[in-house]
Amino acid sequence: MSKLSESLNVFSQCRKYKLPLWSCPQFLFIVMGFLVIISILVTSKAAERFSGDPIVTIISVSMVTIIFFVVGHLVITSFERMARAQQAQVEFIGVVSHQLRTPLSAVRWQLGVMEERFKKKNYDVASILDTIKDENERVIKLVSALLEVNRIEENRVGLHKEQLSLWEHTEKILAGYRTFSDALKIEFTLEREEEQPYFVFADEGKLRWMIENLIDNAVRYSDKGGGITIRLSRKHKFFQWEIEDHGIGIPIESQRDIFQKFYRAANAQQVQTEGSGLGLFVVKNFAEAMGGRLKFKSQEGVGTTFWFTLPIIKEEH
Amino acid sequence: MKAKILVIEDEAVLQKAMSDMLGEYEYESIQAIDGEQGLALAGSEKPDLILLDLVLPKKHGLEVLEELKGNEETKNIPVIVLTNLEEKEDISRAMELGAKSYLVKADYDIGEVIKRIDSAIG
Repeated sequence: MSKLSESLNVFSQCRKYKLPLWSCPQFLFIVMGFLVIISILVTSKAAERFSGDPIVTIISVSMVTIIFFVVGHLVITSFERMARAQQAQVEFIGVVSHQLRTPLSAVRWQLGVMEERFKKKNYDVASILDTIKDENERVIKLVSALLEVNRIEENRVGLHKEQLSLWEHTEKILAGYRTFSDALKIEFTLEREEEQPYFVFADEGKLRWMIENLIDNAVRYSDKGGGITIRLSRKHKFFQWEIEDHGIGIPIESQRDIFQKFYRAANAQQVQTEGSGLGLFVVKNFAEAMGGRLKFKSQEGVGTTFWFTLPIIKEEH
Repeated sequence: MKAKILVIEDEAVLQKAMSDMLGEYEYESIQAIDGEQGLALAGSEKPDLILLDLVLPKKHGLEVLEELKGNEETKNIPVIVLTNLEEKEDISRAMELGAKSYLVKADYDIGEVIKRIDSAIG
């Protein structure tokens, strides 16, 4: 009985799905029902009263039809939204299962190799342990990205802002990449428009996430032997952090969807099968949460430039 | 003579683990990191068995399998599909195309994969 009364309570249904009333199919159906009743009454009254004047009847029927169209459109849109949410959930399971299974399988297999070596009294397993540690880190990163996506969608992005130097932070992060730049066969260049620290008011962890994600993408989709340039500059009331690569670029037909979560351009999947499609979604939302923007320009086969802005909080020292 | 196994796998860590394990079991392993390289090595090296991932750069594993089975020189090489995809369509397509068996990486210990290789080579 309580189940029945709950299913008839439209407001609790809409609350359950976290939908505003005018996007909630259950509520819209009730509105539609009322409109049907009212329109039948109004049309029959109008026809009765103005039976000699067909124009009035035509106008009233037309008005009712328009209202039906509008409400019908709202109903369809809300169903589409729910279908998209369903689709996102399917994609989520697909991405998570594949992206998590790969490092987990890697750990399992490495443990298998280690076990086999131990059986043969071979204790040369240092590199195996390093790999297991790296794969564990990969799982942690993916789970953290998923948690960030969840926080973004629930509007719960927590920021611990402090004054930070964009220049110093980028230098520090880039130093880690430079260690591997020979292996990566990629040359990094860091430039700034003015000799200053580029102070912004930002969350350190999130800023690091943004910078690392954009550098990772540039590295992953760059041609070997290509260069990556990071530039800092001032744009009105904002500082701009920009990264330019000469990699595969983003095809024009994919550019509209590039910030959608789980989306990966077809040419990116061809080059790198691994990737969750969450990075840019998170970076864009972090930039916006800190008062900035994330944008890009790209040409397939030529390269891509991503840039984010953050508000200036202090004049240069 | 050591049997030669071609491992077509783009994930470096899995590739390394498999090669190490094959070494422990006295197999010779050769590695390809994408579909195109896998096809080229299958043709030039004539391995005794191929371990084939499905999600691969440059050429999808199912296309690789189709080309291997469509080529006179490689059609008799047994292929074990080793992937983390487990959709019904992928499994039936791989078996239709002539895969010897279809293993989901996350479900198998590496030792069990070796046992499958042993029995496939005979």
